[in-house]
Amino acid sequence: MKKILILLVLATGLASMFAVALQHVSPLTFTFNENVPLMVEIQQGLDSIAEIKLMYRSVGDTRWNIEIAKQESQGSVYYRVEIPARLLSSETIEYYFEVKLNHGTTENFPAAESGVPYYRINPAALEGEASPGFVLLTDGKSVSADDGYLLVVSFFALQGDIDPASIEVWVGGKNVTAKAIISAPTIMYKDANPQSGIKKAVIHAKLGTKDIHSDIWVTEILGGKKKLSIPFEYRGTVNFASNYYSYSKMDNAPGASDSDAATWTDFYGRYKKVDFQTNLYISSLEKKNLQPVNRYTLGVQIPHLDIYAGDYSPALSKYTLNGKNIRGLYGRLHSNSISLFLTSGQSIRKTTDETDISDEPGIQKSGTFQQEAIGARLQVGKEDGVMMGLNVSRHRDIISSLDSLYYRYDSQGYIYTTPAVDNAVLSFDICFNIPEQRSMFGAEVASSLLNKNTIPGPIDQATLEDYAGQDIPVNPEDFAGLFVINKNMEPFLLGRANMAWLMYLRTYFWNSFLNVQYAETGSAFNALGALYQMQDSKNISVTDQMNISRYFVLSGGFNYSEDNLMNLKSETNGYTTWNLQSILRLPKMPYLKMAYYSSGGENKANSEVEPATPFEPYIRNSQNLSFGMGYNVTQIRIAPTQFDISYRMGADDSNKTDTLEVSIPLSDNENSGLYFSMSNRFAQFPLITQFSLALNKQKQQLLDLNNDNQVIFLGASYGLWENRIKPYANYRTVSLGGDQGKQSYGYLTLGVEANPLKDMTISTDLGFQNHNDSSITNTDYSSFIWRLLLSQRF
Amino acid sequence: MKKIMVTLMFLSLVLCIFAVNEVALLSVAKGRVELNREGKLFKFKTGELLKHNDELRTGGESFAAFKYIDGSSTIKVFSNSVVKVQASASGKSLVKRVVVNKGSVFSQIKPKSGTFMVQTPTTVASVKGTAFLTKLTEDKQSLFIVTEGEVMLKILDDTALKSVTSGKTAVVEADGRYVIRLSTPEDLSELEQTEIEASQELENRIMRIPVLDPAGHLKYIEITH
Repeated sequence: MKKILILLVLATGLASMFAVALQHVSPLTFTFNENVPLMVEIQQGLDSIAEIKLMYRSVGDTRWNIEIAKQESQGSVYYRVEIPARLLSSETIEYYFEVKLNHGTTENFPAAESGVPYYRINPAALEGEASPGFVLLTDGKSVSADDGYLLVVSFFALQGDIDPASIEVWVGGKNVTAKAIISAPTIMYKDANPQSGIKKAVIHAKLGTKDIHSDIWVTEILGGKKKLSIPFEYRGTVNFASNYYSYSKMDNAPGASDSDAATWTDFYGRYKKVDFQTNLYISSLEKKNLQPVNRYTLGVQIPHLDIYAGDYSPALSKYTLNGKNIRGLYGRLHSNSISLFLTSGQSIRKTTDETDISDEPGIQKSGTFQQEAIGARLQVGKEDGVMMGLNVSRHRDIISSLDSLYYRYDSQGYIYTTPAVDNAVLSFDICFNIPEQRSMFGAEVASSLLNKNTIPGPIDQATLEDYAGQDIPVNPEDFAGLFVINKNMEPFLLGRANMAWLMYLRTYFWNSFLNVQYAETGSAFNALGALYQMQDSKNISVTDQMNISRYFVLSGGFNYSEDNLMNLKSETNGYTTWNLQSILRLPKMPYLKMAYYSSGGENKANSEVEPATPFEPYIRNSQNLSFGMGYNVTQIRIAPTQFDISYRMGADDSNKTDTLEVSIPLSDNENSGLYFSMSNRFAQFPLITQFSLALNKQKQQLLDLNNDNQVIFLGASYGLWENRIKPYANYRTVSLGGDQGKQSYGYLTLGVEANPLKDMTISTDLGFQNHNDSSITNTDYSSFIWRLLLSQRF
Repeated sequence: MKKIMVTLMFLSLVLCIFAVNEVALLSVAKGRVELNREGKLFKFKTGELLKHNDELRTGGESFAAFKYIDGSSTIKVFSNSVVKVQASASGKSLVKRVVVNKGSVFSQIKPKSGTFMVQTPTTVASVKGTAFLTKLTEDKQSLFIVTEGEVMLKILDDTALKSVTSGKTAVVEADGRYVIRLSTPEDLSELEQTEIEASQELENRIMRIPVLDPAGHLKYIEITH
């Protein structure tokens, strides 16, 4: 399936079954020594986004680098982020966006599923004009590390034409121009202690206004006997950030935040065959009596063994443990054809509600048990062949972690305010990967056990036999260490309701990437370590992305989900969503984009179950259409301008039919919006300006309400001392009008970003906000924010 | 023929006037390899750059090789040799000349890569895309052993150029007398023979392209060409 990763270049991302839909036009190429600006347009689910991270790396690297995307302005549909120039190399960069939602889960674009390719960008220089004028004088396809690495290149035939100052020397993915000796017509670069492995070298220069580059020269550095002067490779960052908030009237400010500060560090190292990493995040928002915010991870990887201690999010399988944080230990013992994964730790911290309830009779204290998770996976087979996995996970609330005051009280017998649960999941998955056919298909089937309250303890054998009405050959008390069985099991006897299964097919054909998945989840299937479970439902999703050359991308998705899988409810709800996105980008022409989203829902009576209340059918529909264009206007030499413009329109309506068969409209809304964003990078001086405009209209037909809003954003930054200090300012104004009354918000930010030392960034800004509402008195407020960020890379 | 003569003389003049700074890279240095630059002797190592008029000296059981900066030619200098490296720019091409004062050199020249000459006290050999060995014996006899392509010789003041083709050897005496005959094994020392064979083997190159397989392991695709 990795073949697919190599072959496919994505330019759009979408997962229709998720809460968020975004459109991203990948630049496809990057230029050496220049940051790569990326923009994401949120098309659905803007309000549910907490943060967007860009995850990127050179192809072949195992670790991802992270940059946080900045929302262009509050409420804007555009997020911007840059891949730093210092991390660009002659290698292809692959990346994806991790969207963190307000309720804590994350969604990846493109989707984080095996076989789904990432976005990819290649060095523009290597796609541009290769010049035979760069001649490699050093030879030897392989050299010993003891002899050192030497690159000597002549540009004799070009020396009258190129500016030697424009020459860049890239070796091993790094810009080593500063260490190279460039003396026309030769370039010389030496590394006395090279790391063993493959070194690629390429020369880049300007020939007039044209970019030219050499071939890529590959040299294998063989391991030498000599000790390296630096025994290990390392990289990482140390950071500190603080936010100070002040409000004139805190109660009037929605979403008012407390001041906070955080420090974090990431350290990655390699010594011979040992890789290690440390990730620490310490925040002032960490409270002992709330779920942890701080994160600590220590990881070591040696051939065939990975061990992580601290916070880690293991992904054993979709139905057992899949991306939820566990604080403890994680180990993976692996070989080519067999692997064992083990994890154990705390998944939820104990918390207690300390509200003073002494004056409120009848109200009892409550809390949250500390929850521990264990998981294991035995995997047999190869990723590029047949692979099977047997997975097991268990989540258990630790009763002893809470004082009984917080989970029960006595009222003619115990009443439980906080039940303790036991949850176990067993699953089996299998995957067939046929690289020659560029296809993979697989399935997972899982069964779960859930005890909704283990506090009363395990049932004894005699009581169990009475309860079940038959002889039971085992005593549940003997197995309480593994799982507590009592009358709070849901359900008590295993059956189809406890099961979930899915199957999928991912295949690449005719420049098209097809992903089909079908899943059923029983009404009593519970997996506390897994994401996105809709009990008692079945779901089919089909997504396809077709690339016609590199210039036209058409993607679409269909998703249908239906509840009442067990046929025990009096009505069945079905939801259908589908979407279509396309991007047309011809070389040196504006790109055109279009997206359409449709969703619908309705219920049907189940004749096999008598309803408790009369059945009332309903229908809900919504459609959204957006189209737009964008272009990087490099023809304006004085200020190359990148712009994007989109127009959106949408409608939703719903109605129900009552028992008298009268159709009652419930909602009938329309909306439209125009979004424009423009960024200018001036060529003669280091000024960057930004302008964006958003005009929105909403119409609620049933209530005869019309609202509109207008957002204007102006921003500018200016680089001083070769961009070492970059002051910036931006202003945003939001005007609301129509039936909601006249309101306005104003935001002014003044800041400076500085790089006083190598690899150090200091950024600070002052934000002033004010809100005026002419329709309601005494709701105006103003606020002040001071942000500070210090970051040192090494 | 006169035209060629005039051209050679003109190019020789060019060498003196438009000499470029760094003209070649010493790509191999084994044993005792010294450099005489403006009358001063230096120990010279692989990876160092040669300048116009630098003189390379190899000791007994020593060997050196250098490449001109236009990538057109590789010159192997055998033991007990003294060779002067010259080059000058002529527009976009490099005019190269190797002056053999002692010993032997093997020259490999890519076709259509500008002017290349090898000079002994009696002879100037000009070539375009060939491989040949030049040897200056102790009694000042110049041997030009052509293994590939064709070499044109200009001997002393004789205006007529002599052609030596692949498989033939030209022997030029100190007084200018010459003979062109079929090459014999005795024309080459054992080391020279080995180097020439090695060079010919290199023509039948194996290109190794490193690739990562789906599991991330380094593998090679070998292309023989």
